[in-house]
Amino acid sequence: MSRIGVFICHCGENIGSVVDCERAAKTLASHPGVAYSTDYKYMCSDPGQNLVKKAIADHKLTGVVVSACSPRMHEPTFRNAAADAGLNPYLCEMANIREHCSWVHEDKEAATRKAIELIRLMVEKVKANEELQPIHVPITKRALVIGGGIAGIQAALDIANAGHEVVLVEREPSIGGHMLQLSETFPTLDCSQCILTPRMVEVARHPKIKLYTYSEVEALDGYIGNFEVTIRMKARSVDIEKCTGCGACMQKCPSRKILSEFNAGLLVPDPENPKKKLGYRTAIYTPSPQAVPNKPVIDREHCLYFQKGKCGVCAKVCPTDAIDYTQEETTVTEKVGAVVVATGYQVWSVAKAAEDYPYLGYGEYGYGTHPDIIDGLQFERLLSASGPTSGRVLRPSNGKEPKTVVFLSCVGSRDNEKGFTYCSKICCMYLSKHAMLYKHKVHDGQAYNFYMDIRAGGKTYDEFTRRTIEEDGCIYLRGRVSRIFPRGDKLVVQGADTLSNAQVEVEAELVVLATAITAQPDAEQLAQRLRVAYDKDRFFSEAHPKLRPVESQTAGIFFAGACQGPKDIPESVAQASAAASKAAGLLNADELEREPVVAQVHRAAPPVYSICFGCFFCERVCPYGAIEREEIRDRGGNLIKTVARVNEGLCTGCGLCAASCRANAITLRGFNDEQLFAVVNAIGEEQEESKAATP
Amino acid sequence: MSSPETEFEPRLVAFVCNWCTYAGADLAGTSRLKYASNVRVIRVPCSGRIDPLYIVKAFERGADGVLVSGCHPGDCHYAEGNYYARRRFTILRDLLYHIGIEPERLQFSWVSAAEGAKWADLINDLTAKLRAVGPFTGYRELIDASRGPS
Amino acid sequence: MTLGYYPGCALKAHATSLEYGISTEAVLAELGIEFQEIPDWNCCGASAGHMTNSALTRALNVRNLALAEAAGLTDVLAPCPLCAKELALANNEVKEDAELLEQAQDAAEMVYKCTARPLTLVQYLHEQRDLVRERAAGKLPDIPVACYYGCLHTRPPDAMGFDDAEQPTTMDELCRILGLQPVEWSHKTECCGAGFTMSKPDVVARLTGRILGAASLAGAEAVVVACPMCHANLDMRQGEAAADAGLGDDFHMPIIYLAQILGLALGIAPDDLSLGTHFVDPSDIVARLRGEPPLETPGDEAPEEK
Repeated sequence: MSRIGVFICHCGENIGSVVDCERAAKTLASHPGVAYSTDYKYMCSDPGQNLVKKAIADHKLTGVVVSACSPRMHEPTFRNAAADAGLNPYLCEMANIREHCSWVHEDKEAATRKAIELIRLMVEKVKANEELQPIHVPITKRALVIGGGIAGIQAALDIANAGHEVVLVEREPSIGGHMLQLSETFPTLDCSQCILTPRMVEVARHPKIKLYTYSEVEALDGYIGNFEVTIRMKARSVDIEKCTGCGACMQKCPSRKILSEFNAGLLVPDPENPKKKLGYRTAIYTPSPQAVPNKPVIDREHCLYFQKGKCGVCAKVCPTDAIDYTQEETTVTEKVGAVVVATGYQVWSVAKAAEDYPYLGYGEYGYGTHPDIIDGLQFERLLSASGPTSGRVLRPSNGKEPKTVVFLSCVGSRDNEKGFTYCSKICCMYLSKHAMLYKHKVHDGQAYNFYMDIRAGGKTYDEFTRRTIEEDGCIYLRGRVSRIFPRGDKLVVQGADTLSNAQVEVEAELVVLATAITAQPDAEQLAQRLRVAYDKDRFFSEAHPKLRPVESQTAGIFFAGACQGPKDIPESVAQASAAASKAAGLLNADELEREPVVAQVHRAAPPVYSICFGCFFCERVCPYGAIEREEIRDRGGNLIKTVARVNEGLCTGCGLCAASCRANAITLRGFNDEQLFAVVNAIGEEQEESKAATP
Repeated sequence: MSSPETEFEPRLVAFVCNWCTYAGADLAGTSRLKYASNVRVIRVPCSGRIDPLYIVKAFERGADGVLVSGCHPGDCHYAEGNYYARRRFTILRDLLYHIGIEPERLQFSWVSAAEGAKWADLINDLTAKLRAVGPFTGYRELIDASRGPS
Repeated sequence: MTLGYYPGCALKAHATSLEYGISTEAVLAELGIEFQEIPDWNCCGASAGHMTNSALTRALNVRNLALAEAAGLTDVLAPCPLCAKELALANNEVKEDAELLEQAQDAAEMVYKCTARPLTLVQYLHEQRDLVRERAAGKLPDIPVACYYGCLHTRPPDAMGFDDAEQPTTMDELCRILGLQPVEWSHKTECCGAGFTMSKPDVVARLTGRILGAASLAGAEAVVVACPMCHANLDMRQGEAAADAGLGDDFHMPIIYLAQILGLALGIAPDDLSLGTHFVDPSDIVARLRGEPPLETPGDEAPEEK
């Protein structure tokens, strides 16, 4: 026997000025099954909610319909109020008579009739609602952090210090990411490695952090609180237990002409011996002198032993016998409850793109093939004391000091034609820093910066860029560069200065392009493996751009750093801590409570057991793999049939299975057939009544 | 507006998904866009939840037109639900046409949470189209006929 | 299949670049390629048309393409890239928009089924490079030349649809096949001033000065072009250009059409390629290209005509 309470909100003037709420309340009072019907100014206020709670008690209501704004706004508010009053929250529904009615219709009569009908539909639905209890799921109190750059490091430390174990997976041989490649960071000009390496060491030493380097995440199965991650540990060819990091192997390795990823492929002629080039690495190598762990890796593609079966010098000179040519890739699994994705960014190249790649490259800059045209990361390596030139700014073409350096902003960013539409955010600041550091090193040098805008919004950022212009004499020209071509041993940079309305030609000895910051090349594949959303530029999509910046739409997976969009170090660190607090918060609880709007398969007593006959069409359509197979056996252990069963932890409540089931054996709680047919049937009633109803 | 007896006002039932279209309709509301009041929205978690029988039932119960609307391809909150909805709809539409329901009466659309204006235009267009096609009397005639002379 | 041939005003009607038309036709004949001039072809609108009325220009070109189609000529060779661009743009527009096609067809009073394909000479010869290789590989000495593509061969990329827009190489490839030594140089696609040659000749002098200067700096002894506009601007003002660039009183840089170069490689006589009508006398380099000893003094009269 239904006793539904109807509460119609005026929402101040928002609803009340268009919909005649009093009349609606009176009309609904005589609807079969409605035990109490009233209207009120502000239902979501405390007195409004108390009205609901009191009515539930006084009138022994079996269901509640609050007719007000959108359920996307206040459904939790009223469900909590109902729960407080002792009514199962899933017996409370909302009728949207604001966003879908009073705000979009001008004819008051039509709006009022529509409101009455909408409320009636929800009353019929609530009559068919069932009590639902939240689902409790156990939690593994460990977190996975994917990526060991500054964001991953910060997140790992924060979660570990909060008392939970962390598994940190980094695919390079060392943690540190791009920040380890930088020389000095804006706006403080802190030495990047100096501020980063203590954290890297802390990660390595932390008792609660399990560090996997030179490893990749292969698969992530499971669901929030109960993930299982498969990690592929690539073969270092070095036993890290035995290796002491002495470096003897690297000193003796004969393959010494391999482009270094850490140096971003930069090569510079040795000023003392121009025929020799600086910047290479060896086949057995650590990416940087400050690598953590400081254990080398053999690049098998360039190692003589693996390619030709010769050499083997490293094994001979290793004092602890740590070289292991037979080492193979291994796969391990770890159980975690929360995941923080901090996989960072890559720097785009202006080189001519491959056939099937959507970005064209910059032919007008010669596709960057000239050695004196480099990108921002390569210039960092030039500036860095641990770089190929030990920090001297030298031309990659001839090893001499360049007296004129031209910096170009926005190469590939903010470009609708042949690059990316977004702003890469950090380039204005780092080019300003580059010009400043260049001038500090080459006192008689002149720097130019062709820019579109100067984006220096952070704390002391604007003052920093002004210093570059006013104290270090960098000439800022507001205009784009149309062409760069070689003339003799210089590079002619043709651009415009729109503020003085002139064409500008600069003969440069070095050109630095601030190329776009993009997502990692395999970001799409990783996102699909983790089942997280990503946008057109392959940056991972946060749950809400304003209010939920570090959460993904997938429960239990959080983002930190540039993998979500270009950003600088302070922002990456802030996001990392935010993601860590979300993860730690999740892991603090003993159990996880999930919404019970999930599917369930029919079960009955023997001999029926279930009207499911095991076609598993539901299994095929479920996007989450939430359908399991359950064998139904009799007392003797004989198999009767195999039917479907829903894993309530994985089920997200989409209802795809319910609509696909041929036997109607699987239903979606909260939106089952009874409820939805009740609503559809009520439409017919309105038509008959409205013909007879007095306007 | 003229009285119901003289001008036919179509009854449009819309089955919409919670994450995209319902939110888009909410946005039309917060933006105070105005559209025809003939539509009744029924919220489901995903367009993939919509059983074809709901649509048939809606026609039986007096709907002159039915709209099914979900997230854009690739954006479904549940990854794939809208693809299944689209397939079901394509077949259903042919089937309903076969039994005498004009194709204009059943519409499918993608409306994202950001497309408030698209929702408003859609409802206005559909309502106008249904007004032109006229009331759906098929079921009514069947029911009356099955009851025999009254 | 017969190749459609659209000479345009420069190569035929007003013949401002008659040598390009003559040499192209000579080369096609020598290569044994059957070609037919589009019957009753009209202006492509590349000069005044395309800037004043896009519907008119589209109609003019749809008519040209429809005429080609009606004559059974689907590949339309337009050696002048300005014409080729107008034809290609119009073709693309009407292929994608049925309303524009209808409008153009009405104005042209012809039906166009969108089967024609306009090509520049460079594009056509590049497609036929096996034939070129067969008939003329290595026939020229390895003289360094600068291949100048100008603004239009590869741009707009959507319309022209061929080669790299900023760093093209197809003309260089063809010259290399013939035995020449195309140089790496910086001004392959830089603007020469185009139509400003009439209204602002000083601008053209400056821009062509840069182009010719860059070609000289790269070591080129001639510039190879495939466009009447490029040829005219580079050929006509070398004195002013050199003066503007502060590089003396003249460049003395011969500007030769790709068709003429190919003609020489195929053994066609210079007069049959109209090599005697340029502003900058190419006799010296022509002689060297033909393997003859160089003339006594540069600027001498060309050898006696056959």
